[in-house]
Amino acid sequence: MELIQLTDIRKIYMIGGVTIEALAGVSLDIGAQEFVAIMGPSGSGKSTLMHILGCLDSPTSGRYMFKGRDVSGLRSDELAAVRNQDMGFVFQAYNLLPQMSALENVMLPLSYATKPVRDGRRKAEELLEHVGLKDRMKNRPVEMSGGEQQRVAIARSLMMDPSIIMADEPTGNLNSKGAREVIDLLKALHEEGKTIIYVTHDDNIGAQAERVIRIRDGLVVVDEGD
Amino acid sequence: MDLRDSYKNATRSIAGARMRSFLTMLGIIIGIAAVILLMAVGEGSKRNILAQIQGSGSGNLYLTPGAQSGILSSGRNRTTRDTGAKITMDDLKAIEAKVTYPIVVSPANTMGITVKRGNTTMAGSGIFGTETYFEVNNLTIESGRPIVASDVSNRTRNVVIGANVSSTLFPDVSPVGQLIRINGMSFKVVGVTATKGQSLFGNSDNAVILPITVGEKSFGMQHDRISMTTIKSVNPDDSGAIVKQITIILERKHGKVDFSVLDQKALTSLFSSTLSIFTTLLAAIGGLSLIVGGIGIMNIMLVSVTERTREIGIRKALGARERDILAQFLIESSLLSGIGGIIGVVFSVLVADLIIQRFVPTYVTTSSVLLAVGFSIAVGIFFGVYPARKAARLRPVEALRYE
Repeated sequence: MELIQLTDIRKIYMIGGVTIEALAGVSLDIGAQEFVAIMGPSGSGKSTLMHILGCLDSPTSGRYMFKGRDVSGLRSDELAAVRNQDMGFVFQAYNLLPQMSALENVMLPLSYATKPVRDGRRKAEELLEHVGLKDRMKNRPVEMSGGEQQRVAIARSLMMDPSIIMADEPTGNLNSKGAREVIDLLKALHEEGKTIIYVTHDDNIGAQAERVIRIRDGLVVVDEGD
Repeated sequence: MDLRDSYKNATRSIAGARMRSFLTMLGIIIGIAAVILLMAVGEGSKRNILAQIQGSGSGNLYLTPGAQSGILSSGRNRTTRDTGAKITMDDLKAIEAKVTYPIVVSPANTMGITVKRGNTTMAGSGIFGTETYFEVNNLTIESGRPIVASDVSNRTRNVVIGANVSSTLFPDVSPVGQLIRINGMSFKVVGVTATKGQSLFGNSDNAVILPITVGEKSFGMQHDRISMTTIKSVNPDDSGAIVKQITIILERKHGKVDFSVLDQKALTSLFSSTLSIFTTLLAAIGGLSLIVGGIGIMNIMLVSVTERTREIGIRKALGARERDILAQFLIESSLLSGIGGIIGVVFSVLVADLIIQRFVPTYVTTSSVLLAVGFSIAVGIFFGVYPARKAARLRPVEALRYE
């Protein structure tokens, strides 16, 4: 059974009385332990697709089966539970909470866990060690470089042992060294058996993936997985 | 999200914007202080007045002309000219003759007077009474003698002066036997009363007590109208029965109830209920400022929600449900108002005891403190609900996109 099955997913926005079809009927399957890049120019709908895959948004129509469960019509609190347990997010702008230390940021998903997690603090420390930030645990985001912040974000995405890591332009704000580190880390995680889906418009970054899905005008135009 | 986490988040966010949090709390602090201080003044005045009633002699009854229709219309300042209702010496004679319990009747009229000796002038109150005035009002004579029956019957210009009048006009010599001028007329001081302080119907220390018959003769007072009669029940337990007898006697004589007779118990409950309304009114005025403080909280929470839209988006992406976000902002707003409330309580108790107490009597009741703190937290929750719901309902995608 595939991890993700999208069938004719459409997403229509109303902006100032104008309807915009961000996704115009996307169907695709992604299996467990795949390493996928979603690529396309800006406005192609790749971010919208990412949001729907990550249960941050619901499709206007179509069916989204996640781990064999239809999640397209779930209520917001049910989607929140799916995000907490199965989705690890990495964003372009890192999205760490500025008032918290690196360690507290990594532990944040624990606050919303629907079932108790044992030794959460130790696990967060191990994750930070794993991404090479053992000495930076007490630092706040402002005291860290972009690359370090993004590695904190990756550690946070792993906190709940999600099925998938979703990364939205994870290297977009980084210099080439930082970008290199982040991509290497994602690759390493993939080799450890994680499913990874990331969005990028950068061909070099996209080329690192094992499968590239190209989106244009809300439709899949190239899918190397087919 | 467990409560300890939420609490920690809220304190961190409040501490993160100290100045803003303090200014927001200030609205609540002022509101709470207003409620507690106004109630303390109201309660203090109430207790003070009730204590004066208790101290005015437990067996005393007060007879005034005009039917009782409330505290404001039945006091010593009531003018009876308009209604025609009056109490006369003949009425009092009838009461003395017919009441079957031992009583002492003390009629009195009062007016503001000017007292002068040499170049010293002071304003005081003139009490026109009889020989029974001293006994009924628990006044003792410090030196000289009181007004006696012959002073009243002969309309002699003999007066007894209060302790303050004595010390003001006679700082160096004994006043007894000296002459003073009252409203331009010459009177002889025959006695001085001991200091008694403020009582329910004025301050006898600032008073000059004159024979009642002199009032009509020399001060232009109306013929045979007694504005305030104090009747002392020798045995305090009789007072209830005496009120009934006096009512029957005067009603039969006047043909209607155009007078009021109150015993101490009736007076206490009359004042008590009126003063409670007064205190409630004061609390309500304080409560208004608390509502203004609550609007301040709502305002700042709305700003906070907007500023932290991205944080809300991040938390939602990590699995926060609507109720988690709702709880986070509600805890923050109620913590703001709760801390403000506690500071307000401490501040107002200190101000009440250390400052206001010097000018007017205050009394901070436990119930006013509980009411104020409870109300402040309620204000925080009430005014926090709208911003918190706004935050909780944000869609994660839109919140994450917010710059």
